Amino acid sequence: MTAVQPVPPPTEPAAPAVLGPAPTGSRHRVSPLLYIGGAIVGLIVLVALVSFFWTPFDPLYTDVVNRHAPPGTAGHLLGTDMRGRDIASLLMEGARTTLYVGIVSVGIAALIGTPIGIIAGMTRPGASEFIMRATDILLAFPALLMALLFAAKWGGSVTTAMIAIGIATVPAFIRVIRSGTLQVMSADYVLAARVAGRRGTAIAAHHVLPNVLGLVIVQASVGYAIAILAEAALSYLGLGAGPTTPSWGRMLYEGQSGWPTYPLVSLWPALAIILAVLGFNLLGDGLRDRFDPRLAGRS
Amino acid sequence: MTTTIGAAAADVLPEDVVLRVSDLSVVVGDQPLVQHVSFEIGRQERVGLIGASGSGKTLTCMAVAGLLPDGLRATGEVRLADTGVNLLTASERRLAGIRGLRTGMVFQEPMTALNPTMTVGKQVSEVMLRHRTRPSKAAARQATLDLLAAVDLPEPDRLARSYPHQLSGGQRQRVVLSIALANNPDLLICDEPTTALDVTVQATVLRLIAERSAAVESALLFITHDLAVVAAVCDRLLVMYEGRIVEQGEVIDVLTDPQHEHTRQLLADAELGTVDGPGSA
Repeated sequence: MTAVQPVPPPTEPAAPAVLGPAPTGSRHRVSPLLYIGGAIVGLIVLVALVSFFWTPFDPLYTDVVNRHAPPGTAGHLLGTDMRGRDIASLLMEGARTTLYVGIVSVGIAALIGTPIGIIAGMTRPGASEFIMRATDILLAFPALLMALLFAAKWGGSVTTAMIAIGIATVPAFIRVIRSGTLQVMSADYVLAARVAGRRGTAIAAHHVLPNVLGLVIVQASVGYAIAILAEAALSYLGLGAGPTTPSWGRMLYEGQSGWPTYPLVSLWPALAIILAVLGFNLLGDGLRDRFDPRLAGRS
Repeated sequence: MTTTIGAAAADVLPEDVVLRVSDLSVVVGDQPLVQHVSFEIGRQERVGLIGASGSGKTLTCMAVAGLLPDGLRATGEVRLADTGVNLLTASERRLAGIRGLRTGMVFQEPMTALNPTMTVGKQVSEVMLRHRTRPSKAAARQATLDLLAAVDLPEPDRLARSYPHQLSGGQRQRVVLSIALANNPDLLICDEPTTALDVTVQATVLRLIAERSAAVESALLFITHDLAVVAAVCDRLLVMYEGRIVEQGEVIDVLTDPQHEHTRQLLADAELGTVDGPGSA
């Protein structure tokens, strides 16, 4: 009886078509957050790269005639600040500082935090407890406070800021990686590796590390957002980038003197910071969606 | 009780005995989990260990593999062939040299027994390279392909380059078996290796376990609660109940003429239509 009836097209095939490459099926569905975050971060990276070769103006050139110029004046796309520097060019070079600080501080945090986290997850309960309590103490110091302490001791500079932010982000890495490690250690393949005669270091390198790498990436992108904010805050307080290093936080601080008469001077770097933090947070969330379910064993 | 330095006569088992477990007890806190378990496995002998959940069969096998979790205390002796050490008290370093080389193990859940981030071929060759039973990476790789082919896996060359999630459960369990037997161990321990597989694959995996362990002359300690599996694979049977071995003997004798109440219960629960011995009520 079904032969004569025109069968309506099945409803399912439409769904998988919108997904990107998903070789292992729908449970590794890539969330749109990942794409949006990735696009924003990609844009910032692109702008920073372009600034090495080309900016509309020399960011440190002061166009004294056109100070506080509105957007579009004399070729200044986003206008000029109180010294007559081109805001678009400053933003472009500022992106470099932002990315640089993020890479180095997150790199420090990941390189220190990941091994300690794995050790904490694999070692005997007593030693693990010790590491975690020490981590808690470090965690009590916010990145900003740490940076202020460092700046007070060694003077404010981009380097001090990067190291301080990096060290302050270490505890977050330790905690996340330790919990991931505990999960991996309870998996049968670790038992299987022990049955095969593998011992601590080899299991850590071949079995634990590759399986917590997803978490490292997620934590790195979240840490990156925190690092950008911290760098902006430090530069705003005058403890980060020096006067000759364009930085979004420093631009924000300098624009303050013209506030509220010239709000745009502060608005542009503020928007840039918001966009960057949003981008890295979205990227982190998207990556978490992508990697966490497998690690948690949920599917 | 403590053994003297050097290979005292009691440390090395006779030529025809692969495993000797003497008076093994495992306790957590004050609670005994395994009590005074003793048994032997002969060379190339296939021994089944059955019992209900919680009867201590998995703990016994973990003790034999030297893999008891932290927090459990084990007493007694577990000796393997000519290794000359008590596996319960040996150092982790010593145990690591024995595991994978002298013993192999197949797990219950093939989905989680392989590392998801490593290719299958690498995981098989790892165990050979670790114990240096093959002279080079190339030799280990060739041996890996041979091992995968020996468990009837199609296109070993392509399969060796795949990741575990690209394989079916039955295929993964065959890979696990290849790893377990890669170094021709004296003893292969199987912990419910077919429980997680569907029925059509179970028979194949069982056949491969029997065939391959015979081919590399390894004895078999087979843990299961499936009596049909025991009947198909094992020569001798140990029945565990509440941490003790309550009955042991040839498979055919135990299944057809069970002496202990618990064995009868197991048989009754299994509803083995083919078993129609005088002992069954």
